[in-house]
Amino acid sequence: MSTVFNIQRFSIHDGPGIRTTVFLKGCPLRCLWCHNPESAIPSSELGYHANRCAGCGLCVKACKAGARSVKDGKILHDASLCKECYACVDACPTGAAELYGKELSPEEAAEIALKDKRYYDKSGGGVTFSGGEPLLYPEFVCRTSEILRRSGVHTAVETSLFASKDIVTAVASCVDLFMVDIKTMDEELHVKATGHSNGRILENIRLLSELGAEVLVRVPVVPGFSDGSDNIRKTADFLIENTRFRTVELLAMHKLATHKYEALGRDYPAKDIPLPDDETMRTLGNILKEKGFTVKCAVSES
Amino acid sequence: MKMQEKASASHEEIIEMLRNKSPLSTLTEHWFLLDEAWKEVEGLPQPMQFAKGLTYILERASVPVAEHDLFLGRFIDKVPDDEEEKRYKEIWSREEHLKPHHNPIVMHNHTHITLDWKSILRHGLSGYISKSEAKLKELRDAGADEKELIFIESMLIAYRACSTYISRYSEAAKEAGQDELAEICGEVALGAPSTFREALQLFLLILNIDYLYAGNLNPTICYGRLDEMLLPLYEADLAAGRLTREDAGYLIDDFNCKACLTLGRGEHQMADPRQGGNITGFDRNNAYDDPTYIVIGGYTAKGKPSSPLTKLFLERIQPRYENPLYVYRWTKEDPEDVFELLCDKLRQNSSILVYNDETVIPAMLNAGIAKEDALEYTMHGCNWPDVPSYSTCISVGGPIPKMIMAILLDGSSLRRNYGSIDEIYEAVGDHFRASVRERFAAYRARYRSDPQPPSEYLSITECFTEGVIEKARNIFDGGVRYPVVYTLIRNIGTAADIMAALDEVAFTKKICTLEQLAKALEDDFASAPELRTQCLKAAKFGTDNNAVDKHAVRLMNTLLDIVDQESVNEKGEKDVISFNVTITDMLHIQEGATLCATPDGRRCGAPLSENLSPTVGNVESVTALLNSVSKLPFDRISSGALNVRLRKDAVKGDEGLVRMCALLSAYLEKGGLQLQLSVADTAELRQAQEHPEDYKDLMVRITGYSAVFVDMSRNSQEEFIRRDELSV
Repeated sequence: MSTVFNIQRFSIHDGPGIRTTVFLKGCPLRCLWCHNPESAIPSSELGYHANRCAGCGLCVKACKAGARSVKDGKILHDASLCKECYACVDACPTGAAELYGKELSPEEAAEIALKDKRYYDKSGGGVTFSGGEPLLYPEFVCRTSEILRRSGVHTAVETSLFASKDIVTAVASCVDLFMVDIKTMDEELHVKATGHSNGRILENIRLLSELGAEVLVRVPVVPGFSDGSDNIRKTADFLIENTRFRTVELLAMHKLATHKYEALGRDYPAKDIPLPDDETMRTLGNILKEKGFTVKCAVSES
Repeated sequence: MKMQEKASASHEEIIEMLRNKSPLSTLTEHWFLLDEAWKEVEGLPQPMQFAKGLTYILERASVPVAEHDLFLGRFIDKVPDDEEEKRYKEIWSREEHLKPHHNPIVMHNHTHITLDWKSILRHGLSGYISKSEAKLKELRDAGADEKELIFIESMLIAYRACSTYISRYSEAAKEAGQDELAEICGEVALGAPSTFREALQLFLLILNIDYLYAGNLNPTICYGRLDEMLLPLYEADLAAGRLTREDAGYLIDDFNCKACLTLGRGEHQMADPRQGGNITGFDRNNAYDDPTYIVIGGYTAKGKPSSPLTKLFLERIQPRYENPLYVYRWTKEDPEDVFELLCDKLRQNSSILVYNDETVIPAMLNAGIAKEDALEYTMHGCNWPDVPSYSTCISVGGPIPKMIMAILLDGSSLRRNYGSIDEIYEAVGDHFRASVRERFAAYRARYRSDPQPPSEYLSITECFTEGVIEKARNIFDGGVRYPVVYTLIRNIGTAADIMAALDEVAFTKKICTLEQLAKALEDDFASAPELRTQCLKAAKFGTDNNAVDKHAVRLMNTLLDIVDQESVNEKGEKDVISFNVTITDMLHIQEGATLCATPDGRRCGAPLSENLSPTVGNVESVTALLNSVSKLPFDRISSGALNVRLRKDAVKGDEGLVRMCALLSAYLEKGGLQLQLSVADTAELRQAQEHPEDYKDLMVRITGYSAVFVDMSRNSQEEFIRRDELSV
């Protein structure tokens, strides 16, 4: 079993073709710009979408622990009283109270994902395990992937690679594609941005190259952390010196997750970071191209 | 001017029209001629009124010629001056104008049909004239009823009027120094077309005649299968060196332009001006606010699903045009390059409706249409099925949610304490069967009595419908091979949601009794909000969930089994032809407005699901939607529409094209019936509302027609935006 917080069908940004993305809950990193804040902790948790709330008070009525109350037409939730029974979610008619995270077996996840097999076959798509950090659940990923691959479905993981060598090796043997981030080559900045060193991540990228895995390297372009020319040159040099990977996808940071932070009642750490402009994306892309890389770019067609 | 330059000038004219035509413009000449014609023919038997009225109009209608015309045939529409506006409003204000039939002002035209273009092509107007002359002689010799003689004589007069109109265009072209067009119109004024261009010219002018004459009913005409019909002429032209593929493309461009030019500004969801709404809208524009359909692709009698002309027509579709609407008939044998081109055009937001031959042809056969005619099926606006020599005037069925609620509630209380979901199905079936039986009896009385009484009514539609001259009967009195009942199976999405919720809440989980549910529905869940939550949480159609999809399938099969059973008479012969259709147009809003709260948690007065779509808000992904819909038994359904709105990024670039092809082919291979796509982001639509002047080219698919988004009323815009935007 694994805690899944979303299974998103017709995903178009998580690998080739039409895909289903299985989002797993829990992540060892705390990236400032994370756009899936509901994935951070492994256990289920409650979200509240004020914009969906009709103020009907049914959740207050349903909560036996007295954790919910109404004040000025707004629902308040006292986490210290919450018994995590999630009766409020069941009682909510509009989806304003949402439960992030549901236990799912590999068989159940595969069954949902296989519903779109025909679309994968026709578009060169498949299933992507994302998160959170899917490598926190190597057995789930491998078992689900095994079922899917038996049916001829391509599988991928979107991972930070912040995991042990053994886990990386194990997962490499059971999925078709890794999509990995190099968030920044600067050790200090990496710690500042994610809470951890990038040492293990870079080691694992090297390992994947040795293992012969198919890998798409991605660089999230975040102003102040990874948008410098120097950083992208170092990234390219690292890949040239240590791996056979010669394709890099540049992902422009976005702030589409703002509402999720609101739903979770958390501050968005990246709220003051500006978005990268097209010119920056083009410049970084050109540097990579000059170094012989094929560049994919999520914003500008550089 | 070269062909390319002319086609390009026509395109510019369209863009100018789409952007700058005044919503106040209307066909003043059209209205005034109809009004004058009626005064001229007052007191005559109706067929003669029609024929002489048509003659009056066609002898006087403008025959404008523009320097860049590759084809002739355009209407004069303008913003009426004060005097004209006064006269126009006076015509509209007359009480008799509102009468649906035998309308004295605008007379009457059935429209909504695919004319018999094959015969028009084969015989030309001279063929129709000689055929009707011969029939008249035959009837006279046989001492036929006076009414029959008047009927055929009127047809003869009408054909001659058509010929006169085309000759007038020929003369006008000559005067304007357009000798080639003068010659073409001169040829087709009587004779059968002998080239690709002549055929398109004749078709366009016949369609114009239909539009000129049409009044209170929309002239929603389908050109039929142009790629199939015109292929022999096209190939002969190429072989003889009369035409190149490129020039044929420019001809199609201009033909498309003329169809687009025909439409006025606005669309018929706009408010009724007589009820204090907009000054534009259905009433003002109804003479020309109607899609013209062109059908391409599909199986033919020779089995071939695609011809070089299919691809050429497809290539020339202009995404920015509101009209014509192309119906692309998909088959599993379509060439890959043609299919990819189709998907490319779709993702450019073109006005294309895709139909699945693999389901429609079996549905037509199931309805009782002969194979050779089933293969020739077409669609006319909006998404109505059509076969050669067909007509319809009887319909049965309607919104399924209303049928369910009718057996569930008696006024505000529970009608019967049903013991299981099966009993509810049975009651819905019985309720439906009663209305089907009554309507089918009316059908039999009208169409299966022998002999049919002489027709006292004639319109332009009869003149170009197969079988009418031979039988000397109009299309409602036995003049056609296939008199058809439309069986309306509407709002399947909401209906399935209702059954799934009933099943779950009242029977499977036993959350409440039916009596408690009925009470909650009566006060719109005010007394039982918790119960509404449970109802809302029941499985919903469109999420690829068998718990509800099975109800959608069962509901449809329950109703369609009844149609099949009741189509068979006491002797065991199938004698009723039913086209089962699922289209709602925009009626889902009106029907919802008069329906109480429903067991799926829907509030009193809220809209029902539109066409084949799930109830708004229930779609999680486009693949789940397509999977749910394609489970329905479409080999028993003749037509329907599935509106899908995708975000631009979902179909952008090379990968986007691959995705578009994958989505469409997977859906159709799984047995989906139809798909019509709008590629428009919600943010863009909101921007368009704020700055309409910047979005005059933004087209959206409504039900079986396209509309310029910024021309729609605010309510219609909001309704469109509420439809689920699908992507990630």
